[in-house]
This record gives sequence, C-alpha cells and structure tokens, in this order.
Amino acid sequence: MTENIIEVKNLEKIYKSGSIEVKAVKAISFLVAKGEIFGFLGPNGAGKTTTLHMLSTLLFPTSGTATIAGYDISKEPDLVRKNIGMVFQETSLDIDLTGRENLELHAIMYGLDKETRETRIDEMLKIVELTDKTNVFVKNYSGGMKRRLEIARGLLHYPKCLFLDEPTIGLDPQTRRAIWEHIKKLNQKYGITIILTTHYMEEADALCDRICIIDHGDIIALDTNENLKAQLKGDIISLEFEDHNALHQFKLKIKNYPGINAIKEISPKKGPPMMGGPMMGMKPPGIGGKPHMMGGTPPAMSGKPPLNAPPMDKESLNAMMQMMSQKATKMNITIENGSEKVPDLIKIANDAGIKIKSLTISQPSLEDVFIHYTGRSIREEEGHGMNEFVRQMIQARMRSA
Amino acid sequence: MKGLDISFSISKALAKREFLKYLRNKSRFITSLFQSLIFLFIFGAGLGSISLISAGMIPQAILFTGIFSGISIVQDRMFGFLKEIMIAPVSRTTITFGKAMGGTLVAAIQGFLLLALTSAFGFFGYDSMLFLRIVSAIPLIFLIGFMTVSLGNLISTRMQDFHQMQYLMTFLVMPMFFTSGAIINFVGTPFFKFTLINPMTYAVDAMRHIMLSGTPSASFGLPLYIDIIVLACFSFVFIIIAAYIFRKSESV
Repeated sequence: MTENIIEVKNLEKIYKSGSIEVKAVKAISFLVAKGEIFGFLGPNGAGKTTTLHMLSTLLFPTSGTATIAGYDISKEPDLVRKNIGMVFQETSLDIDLTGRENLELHAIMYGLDKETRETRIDEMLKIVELTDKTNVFVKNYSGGMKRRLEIARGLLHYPKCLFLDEPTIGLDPQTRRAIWEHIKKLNQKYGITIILTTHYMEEADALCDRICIIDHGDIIALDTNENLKAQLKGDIISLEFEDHNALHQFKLKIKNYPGINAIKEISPKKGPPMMGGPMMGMKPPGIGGKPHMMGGTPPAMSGKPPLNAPPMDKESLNAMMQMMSQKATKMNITIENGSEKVPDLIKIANDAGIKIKSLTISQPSLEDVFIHYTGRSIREEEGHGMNEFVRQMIQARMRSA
Repeated sequence: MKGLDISFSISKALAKREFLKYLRNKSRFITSLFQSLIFLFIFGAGLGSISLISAGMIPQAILFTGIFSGISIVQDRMFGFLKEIMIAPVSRTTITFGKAMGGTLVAAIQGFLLLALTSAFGFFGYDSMLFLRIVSAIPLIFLIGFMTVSLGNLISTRMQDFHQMQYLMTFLVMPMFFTSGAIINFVGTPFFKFTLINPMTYAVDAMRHIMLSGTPSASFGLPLYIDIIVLACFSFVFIIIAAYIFRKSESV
C-alpha cells in the first residue's frame, strides 16, 4: 500500500474586494504518494502558485483542508513547515550574505544544532555542486547557482516534501537540464517527495511521475504522463497534401479505416487581426451590401462607405477573399499502432491517385494533451495571466485599505 | 524552556544578519555619520552652543539609522528574503524581536560613534566626569535605538516598497528631527506643547541630562527618569502594535 504524504480536500482560495470576487483556486482535491514527483502544469495565473502557497501555509485557504505528512495546514502550520522545504518562484536569498551564511541562517531557523548544521551544509553544497562557491556573496552568483543554492537550502532540514515553484524559470536550457538532474537525484537518493509547478511541457514530461493539469483554478486532468497521453489513444500521423481537395478525398477514403480515433484538419494560420475588423463592420463597395439598411446609418450616407473606413482597392480585397477561402491542406490522424499502418495508408492514397506531400508520425506530446483538455495551446495563454493580474490588483487594494 | 532557547538563538541569528549587512554596507554608516557631523558643525557654528547641539545630535543620528533599520523588513519583502523567513517554523514574535535586536544594535553603534567623536573633540569638556557620562549614556543610546527601530517596524507594516521612502523622510523623520529641540529651543514658545508628542523630544532631553548635567540650559524641565519612562512607553507601544499587525498579516 502506498502512503499518501499529501491529502488535499476541496481546497479553495477566493480573493474578494468589494463586489469583485476571484476564485483563484476552485475546491480542488488530490492525493500525493510518498516519494512521488508530482507536477502542476498550467498556464500563468492558473492557480498553481496559490495552491503551493496554501499547502506551505503562507496563504490561508478560504475553505477546504489539506494535510502534509499527517499535519493539517490550518491547524498545525508549524509542524507542516518543519516537514516541508520550499523553493520560491522568485529568488528569496539574501544577496548581501554568502552562500554559506544563507544556509547557516536557514539551519538555525529550523532548529538544527551547530554540529548538524556544519555537516548538513557541507553535504547539501556538495549535492548541488556549490562547495567551491560557499564563501562567495550571493549577489555574485549566476541565476542557475542561486537556484541550486535555494534547492540546497530547502533541503537542509531534511523535509519530507520539497515544493519547487517554477524551478527553472528564466534559466538557459543547459542549466535547466542540470537542475532537472539535481531534482531527480534528490528524489532517488533521499526518497523525498517533490511537488513542482511549471508551465513548461518538457519539464513536466522529463521530471514528473504524475501530472496535474490545472487551468482557471481547477484540476482538469490528473494522471501519469503515459496515461494522459494514452487518453489520446494512439500515435499521431500528420499528413500534408497539395491542396484541400486532395485532403478531402483522402479523408473520405479512410473514413472507415479501423483504429482511427480522430481526424483533425489543421487550418492554415489565421489572417492578420484586421480581417475580422473591417469585414464585420463594413461592407466594401461592390459586394452588394446595402449600407443604409445597417443600424441607424442616416439616409444621406447611403451608397457611401462609412467615413472611418477607407474604400478598399480591388487587389487587397482579392487577397482577403483568397485568404478567407484558404482551406486546410494538413491533417492529424490519431491512430492506434500508427507506425504499422503507415504503409497501408500510403497505398490507399496511391491507389486513389492522391499525392501526399509529407508525412510524419509522432507520439502524442503533453502539448497535445493540454490542447485536448483545454481546447487551446498552453503557449497562447502565456503573457495573459489574467487571474494573476486580478489577484494582484485586489491585493494591492486590500493593502491600501 | 528548550523552545524559548531556540527562539532566542533564532532571534540572535536574525540580529547577527542585520549587523553583518550593516558592517558590509560601509557607505551607509559613513553617509549617516557625515550627515550628523555636518548638521552638528553648521548649527553648532551658527547658533554658538556646540555642546547643547552635540547632545541633541546624538539621538538624531540614532533616529536616522534606527528608522531605516526598522523598515529593513520592507527591503526583505522587496528582495524576496521575507518569504524565506515567513515559511520557517518560527513565530512572528521571534522574527520581530530578532530584527528589532539587530536594528537596535546598529542604531546604537551609530549613536555611540557620534558620542565618541564629539567627546573626543571636547564638546562636552574634559572634566573628570566625562567617562562616567559616556558610560551612563550607553543604556540610553540603546533605549533610543530600540524606540526608533520599533517605530520603523511599525511603519514597515504599512509600507510596500521603497518608493514611499520620500514620504517617510518628509512627513515623519524630518519633522521629528526639527521639533525635537535638538537644534532649536522651543521652550517658552506656544509651539512647545506640540513638541511633547514627539518621542525624540524626550530622547534629546534625556541625553542632555546625562551629558550636560549641571549646566542651566540642560533640560526643559522634566527629570531624567520621566524621560526614560516616556521613551520606554513609546517603544513598547510601537513594537507591540507592529508585532500584532505582522502576526495577523498573510505572508505573500
């Protein structure tokens, strides 16, 4: 029987300010087994950090409960704190102190005696390979070194659980990989449970035993990465054709082919944002629009385009029409045992005289999984962080109140 | 007992951190000391009572350093280090106490430096009592340090970042400095009773009691022990409110 180190039940965080109410985390429940690497994956502002802060007793939950190593986060915060280590998203080191002094202060705050302190600090510095930088001021550390020092610090008191909030954000790929190695090593060597948040697919994929996809404060999927991908059942074969007609014909041919779980046309890139603008707001002359029928346009204006929209020349109009009529020439087929079916699919195309321009076969990625569950790519979400924005706004208000 | 022991060693470690940071930031104490000396010589030369102003400037040096040590928690918040302290299994009272101890030590050193310099220059005369005076001024320096740090602590609970520093200087520190009686004597003016709400008034008065005892203009009339009690009360009120707000606040 596996032992659960974290048990979360209906944990909820609501920010209120006057009549505005933002549910940062919506009554989530989950369990984490001892020794697991558990990852929260989601776009910025999804509620990952808020969840982590509640679990680490920095924020009070609005409702719901959670226990860590058997201790309740609301009733026994000090015992929870003793059993967890935390690496924050932003650096939380004192840059005016040396690496060793930072660790020393941490060890004292966690009640370690002098002898234990010395040996632990040496041990942890060795693990993160900072032994030769121990007496250097932290302000002279690189980003990766700071991260490693923070991980070492989070481990000094031998926590049962280590929380890592976006452990590799802002680091270069090489350093990122090194940090991943450190995390894996810790997990294996000490059997320490690791909870991390990330918005990098590769990171979740490379590190986590189980992944919890979180979006708008809600858990939308929670499973091992293999299982998550398996829900997309099969491999993904991406095909490209000469034109949409060929694609359409091929689609008809394979409609009843066994083992196919999904066929998805990949539409060409959307046009420039102006497309929706002028086309909806005005009818260019020559398309047979009746401007005086639209809304409250005064009769005097009839026959003329609205003042703020310059008449469109024929060329750009044609280009626009063409763009709109552009149809997909690529499609993804989700199919079981894809690699075995490829020759057969090519034969079908050849027999029907349909030319396939390119073909690639791939395993479904976490990105595909994310798209599957949320209907959009995680990259599209980046930079918006609406939740986060609202939260900060509300917090700022509360402080000034 | 063991818990209390650990709390104390944590406070000590936090205090040590403040002290180390102060020692490493040489520009801070040099600027502060220079500022005090500038004020001292300008007003001393202009008003012609260097001993009175020396005794008045020592509490001011402590005020400037103490307030800023007290709000170092704002700096910790800005640089993220506060989160590290907040997530440790340490009570907020211990944190407040530790930071106040460190700040007090730093402010006291600043005050003592000025005391040592002005004494060496002979502004308090070179009589046989000088050494005794200096020694008895030390506890007072610590008390003033603690009072100003506590006030800084209290302010820090309402301050999010250093952009508000300018307000702090303009609306609090400078008025406290100028109305304390350190350079301008308000005794006998209608304004005098307003200066009594300024804790620094008592700090200056107490310092003059100790350093200039026997001189007719040494005090505005309150006995030393009253000054001390008032200062202690101010400190106590400031630190208790600061600790209370700090305890009630969320950490991030």
